[in-house]
Amino acid sequence: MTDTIQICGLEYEVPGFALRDLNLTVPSGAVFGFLGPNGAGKTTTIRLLLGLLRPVGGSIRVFGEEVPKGIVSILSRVGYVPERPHLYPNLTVAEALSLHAAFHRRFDHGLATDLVARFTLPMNRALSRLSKGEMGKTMILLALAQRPELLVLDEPTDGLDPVVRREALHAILDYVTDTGATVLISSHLVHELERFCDWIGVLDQGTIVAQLPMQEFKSGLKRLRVTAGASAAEAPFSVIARGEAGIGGEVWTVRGWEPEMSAWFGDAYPLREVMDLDLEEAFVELLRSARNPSGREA
Amino acid sequence: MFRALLWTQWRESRIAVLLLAAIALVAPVLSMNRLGPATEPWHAWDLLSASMRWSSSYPIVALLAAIALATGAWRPDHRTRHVYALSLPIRRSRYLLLRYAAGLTLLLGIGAALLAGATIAVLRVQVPPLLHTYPVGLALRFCMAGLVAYTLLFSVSGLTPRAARLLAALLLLLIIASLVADLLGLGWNPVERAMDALLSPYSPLSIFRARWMLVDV
Amino acid sequence: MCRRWGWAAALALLWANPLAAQGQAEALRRVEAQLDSMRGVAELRASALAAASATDTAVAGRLRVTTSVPLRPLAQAAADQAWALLVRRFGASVTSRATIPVIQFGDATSSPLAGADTSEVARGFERLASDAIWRHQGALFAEWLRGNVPGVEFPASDRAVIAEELLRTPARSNRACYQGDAAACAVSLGLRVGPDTLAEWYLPEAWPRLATMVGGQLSGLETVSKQQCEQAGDSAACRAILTPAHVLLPVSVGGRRFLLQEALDVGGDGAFERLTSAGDLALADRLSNAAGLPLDSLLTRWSTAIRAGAPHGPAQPSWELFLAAAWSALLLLVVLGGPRWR
Repeated sequence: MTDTIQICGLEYEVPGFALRDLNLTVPSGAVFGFLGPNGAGKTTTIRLLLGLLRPVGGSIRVFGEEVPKGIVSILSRVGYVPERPHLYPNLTVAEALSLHAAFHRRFDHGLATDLVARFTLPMNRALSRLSKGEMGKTMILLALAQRPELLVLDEPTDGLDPVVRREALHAILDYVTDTGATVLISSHLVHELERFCDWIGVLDQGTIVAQLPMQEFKSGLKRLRVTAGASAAEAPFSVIARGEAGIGGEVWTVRGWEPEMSAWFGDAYPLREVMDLDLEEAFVELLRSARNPSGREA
Repeated sequence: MFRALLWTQWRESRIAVLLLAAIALVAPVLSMNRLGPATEPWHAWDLLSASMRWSSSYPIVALLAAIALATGAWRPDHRTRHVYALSLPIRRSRYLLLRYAAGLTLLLGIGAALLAGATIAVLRVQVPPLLHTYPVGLALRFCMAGLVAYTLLFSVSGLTPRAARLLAALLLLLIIASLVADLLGLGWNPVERAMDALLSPYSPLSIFRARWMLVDV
Repeated sequence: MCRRWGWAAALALLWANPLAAQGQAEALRRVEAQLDSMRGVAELRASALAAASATDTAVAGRLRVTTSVPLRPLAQAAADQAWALLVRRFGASVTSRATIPVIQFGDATSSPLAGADTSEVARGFERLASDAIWRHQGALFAEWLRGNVPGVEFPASDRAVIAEELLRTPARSNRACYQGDAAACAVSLGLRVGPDTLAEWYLPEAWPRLATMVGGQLSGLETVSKQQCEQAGDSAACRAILTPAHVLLPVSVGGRRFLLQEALDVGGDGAFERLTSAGDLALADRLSNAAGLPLDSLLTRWSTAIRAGAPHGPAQPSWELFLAAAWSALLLLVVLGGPRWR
């Protein structure tokens, strides 16, 4: 499998914020969830990726082409939905479609018509008069109708109601299923990505904290209920967090867990229970461990 | 692409364009209105006076058109913080050229309205011998003055926020330097110098300094 | 142009009426005459003040400029230039005996002006000195120039104004004059007119409107005549108000000044002396003597120059349009060459 996006040692700095030595790889065909708290640098990374900002250092390659040198060719294959509306507000939906089609050779008018119907968009209404949900759907429509090989979605469903969110995500999924396009979707809505992504990258304070297949991310992170007094030294997994849990018990949040590791606890301090963490809990624990590398908490 | 961008420019500045085109069309006609018969001894006087009286309206319309179109060219991009424009698969220089050309096309539209109005106006009056009508010349100067002002304003409006801040700081510095020089009685005024430079012969806006006469010698 | 407020000047340029209407010219003439007399008083006062406070003096011929020490080099260079221009214009003998008031350039504490243009300063000195020289000959030209001083500069744009006046003012001789008829020009310029000047200049149909252009302070009788001429077109009333001193000139004072300048330019050395020589010569003869040409030839030259300076429509000169295109191309290139990033 080749990589659609390769970011190596990316550096960017503005007053009050910096990306430091950011490395990120998005495999082709992956639906890559780009997670991170607000202000982590997700949007900045995406803007750097699309040549909207100038990096201070490092390199970005998309489809094997360097950014910004090959940006025109790259952008012709990328559908982009930014976090905030970026379409010209004076245009109507129909005019926005025409404008977008004029710049994208592979623009699929049939798909656009289908999506307009599916999203029930008012074609002759000015974009400035659309509801938030309609605007979100219009942006997704445009990104999909240009038949991109890479979809870059920056918080595409942020602030949308559940019905609209579902409609939008289904449209994206249908497109990806049909075309096998790569998707980079940034969000802080962890549950949304859990159903949707097969890869995950976590960004915090301008640094990539983790980058791995979703399955690995979900299965390796566990919450263990262990007998008090057990030592975490030389454990084959890493303890992210540790806390009291009732009389004679402790709760460990661990990473890199495999089922056969239960035997490691032995009889002296037996493992009482292995609990799955959902993605949100895992995300919170991961961030906690990234910010507190000692792996302990009170 | 050009047509699509021309449409966005039209949507953005159509009210100003229509208004200015209407003024450009009507002004020459009005200027030649209510003139006495050609046999009247004061006919040439009235004709040239009317031409002169209205002559200042043409550069003003050209300047207003340039302002409206230059700001209109950038307004949608400024509003969207250039995200859409920069995410289009097109070289930046080509995009700018298309945007520029779109505004220019509308400017030429206003110029065409002036030409039409001026032609109608001169067809409606009897011009005494030795006087000449200049509908084409007037429209030509209008377009060129509009062009240079539009290009200048397009360049300034399209500055990056950083460059715009630098320009604003420079202007502020000039004003402060002028005030200080005035207070100290140095007899040197940088703002005045800058304005002189901008309007002096061979400078970008020198084309505005002319006789914008529809009927002249 | 108002040099202090650049923007105001720019707007003024756009609004400014490029061709002064003769009605306005009449009002301006009076103001100019007042200014001239005020200038004379101011010059005397300036001379006295200059002598009291200046710390250095630049001298070139009979031109004396009081100034501060730091400004002296600039004042000297400008005075040298101005003196050379004065000698060329008026001749060595006139300038050597002319009484030119001391010119004050800045005050004792003035420091050098940043970006000061020597030629511009020289032109200022020349203008002041030239006005002084002309003022001594004032009686000769006062009536013909309606109290104005001939001046020293006559740019091409002013010739365009005269060309326009010739074709605009409804004087009977103007069109022929514009086309090169010297005799007609002599009439238009007031050099050869009979006793009934008004009738020679204008058709009676034009008189009532001419009366509306008569401004300034009028006596009670004049006011009545003006009203009668305007409203009833009464011929006698019109003649009473449209006297040579009041009536709109077929060619304004500017055109007359230009003729004077032409005569001096053509005449070369000694032209000014011939122009102002003693004796009871008619103005036409003085001009002819100064130019060293028959009056008709001088007038033909004058009208040719006026035609040459006539405007050729808004699209001319064409280089201005090309220059605008070049500026636009340059600015556009700068924009297109800018970075992608915002």
